[in-house]
Amino acid sequence: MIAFLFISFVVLLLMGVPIAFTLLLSAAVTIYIYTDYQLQILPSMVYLQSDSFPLIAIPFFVLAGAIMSKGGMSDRLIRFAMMLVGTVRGGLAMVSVVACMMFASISGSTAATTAAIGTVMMPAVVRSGFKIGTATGLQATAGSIGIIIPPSIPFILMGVIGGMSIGELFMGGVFPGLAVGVSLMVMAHIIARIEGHAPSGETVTLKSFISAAIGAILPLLTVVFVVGSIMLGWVVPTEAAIIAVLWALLVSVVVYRDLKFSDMPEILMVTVKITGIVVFVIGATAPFAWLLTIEQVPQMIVEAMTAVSSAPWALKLMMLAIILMIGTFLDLTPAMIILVPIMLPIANRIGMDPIQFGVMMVLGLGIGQSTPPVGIALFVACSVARIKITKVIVPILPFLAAMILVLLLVAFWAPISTWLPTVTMRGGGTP
Amino acid sequence: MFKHPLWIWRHLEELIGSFLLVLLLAVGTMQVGGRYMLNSPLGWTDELSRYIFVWLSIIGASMALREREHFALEVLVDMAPRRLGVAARMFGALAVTGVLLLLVYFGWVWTRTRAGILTPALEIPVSVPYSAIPIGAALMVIRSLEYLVELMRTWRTPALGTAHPKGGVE
Repeated sequence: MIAFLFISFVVLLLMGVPIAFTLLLSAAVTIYIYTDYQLQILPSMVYLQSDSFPLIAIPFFVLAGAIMSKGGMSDRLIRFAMMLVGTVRGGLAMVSVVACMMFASISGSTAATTAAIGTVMMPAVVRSGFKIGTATGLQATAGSIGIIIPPSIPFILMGVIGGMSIGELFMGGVFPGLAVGVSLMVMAHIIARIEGHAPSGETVTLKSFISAAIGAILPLLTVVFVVGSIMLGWVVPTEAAIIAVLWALLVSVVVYRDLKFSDMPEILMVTVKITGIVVFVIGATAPFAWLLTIEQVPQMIVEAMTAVSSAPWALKLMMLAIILMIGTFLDLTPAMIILVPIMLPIANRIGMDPIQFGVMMVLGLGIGQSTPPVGIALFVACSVARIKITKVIVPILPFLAAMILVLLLVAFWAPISTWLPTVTMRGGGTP
Repeated sequence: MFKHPLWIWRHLEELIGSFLLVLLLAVGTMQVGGRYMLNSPLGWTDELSRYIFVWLSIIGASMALREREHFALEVLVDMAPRRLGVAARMFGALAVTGVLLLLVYFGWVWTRTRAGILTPALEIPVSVPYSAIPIGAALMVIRSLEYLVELMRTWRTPALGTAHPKGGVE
């Protein structure tokens, strides 16, 4: 039964059937042939999985990000980042990383971050002396920080699927996100030194710094609102997302006046589509995941893995290998929905903190977003730079190595992900 | 705006979806406002926003199906010889249509068996949210069949381009 389920899933997937329908169809046929359940459980499971208040945060965070990027915010963030790191050798590359980190703290999506910052920054990075392949590779990896720095849509999903606190996951992502950003910047600096780029020679005056900081402060306040109000237990993430939308509207329409009414249809349409894609695949996974559970597949995989070695470090390495491999071939959302129920029991058995596990999995799958054959950040970066993916495969390797280093750090040093949620939320008595 | 008589049909999902999204934002704002300004949760906003969200998601899923932007692994199909690729896509579209028909039929049966039950807060029939699944799936069946027709045309036209002119990723 399980063999049939997996084989039909893989065959349909390789034939290019969208993964949501692949999951539904293989589950439907398996239920029909091998169990006595009525197929009515199919629509009811799809429905019950999507009828969820926490998931409503998804359209709102997407909407807030879309409004902010149309509303003239990315230029202001880039200008501020320029003041912070632009004068160092390889500085423009570092600017694009810092701008991506700032943008990620407002938007919840990788594609939006990569497109918004990449469009402006990549030509400038190339002009400063970097090869186009390197610039694209950096942009793709920097864009995928978006999912680690809160607010983050994958963390919302992780919380819903794995039963963890979304607020704690948000907190847990802060330091790993910063670590990824710093490691990418160091890597860019090293490359600039090896290739012998000249420093930009620009000077920062106190006056220009202050004016850039003022321009960037309103969008950057979003993350303070969102993270702060969740941390203090004033709002749940969905309500924080609503506040983020209202704030984004206020800043872009009233303060900046860059958002035109004619921009609204596109912003709404993109949000509707992304919501549809993400939520439908979540719903469609429910029957499949249920079959795995009633057949005790997670337990079987745990047994198989502990048979190889039961040492926590070995199990962690095995999990990382599987996460990286699956992340290369599948998009983050479906990969996460399939892997969490299988791997969470392993993490529990070796006494791993659920928050650390969640951050590790999202970061690991996030690395897959900038690797071929399936990598949304890589696709967007390449389409912005107008170069072929094959031209990026080698230059992206140092940046991937930097991210994998951070991944190992997250996997083997718990405090980087658990310290902040522990001191901010677990002590405060908020659930 | 209305350049073509079929414009509304072609963009039906965007129209309904954008309306639902604005509605969802309005209800959500009321919820936040009610809890933090009036100091009394409104009670029905939580339930109403979940039902709007379910409808919004399935309509968005239909839009994504029409634009063929659902997560998929298309490396092999893209590499295959043209006719083989088109044939695989046809089979895929048939599979999608098949599973959607299951959702329509069993979703309808499931909704019908719960007729008469009311939701806890709003006290409207549960079939209002539940029917999102069969109705949304029915819309997707039509989108899937439209794609199948397009693939058949591609099959007949010799060479030149594929049936999968995937636009940029947003």
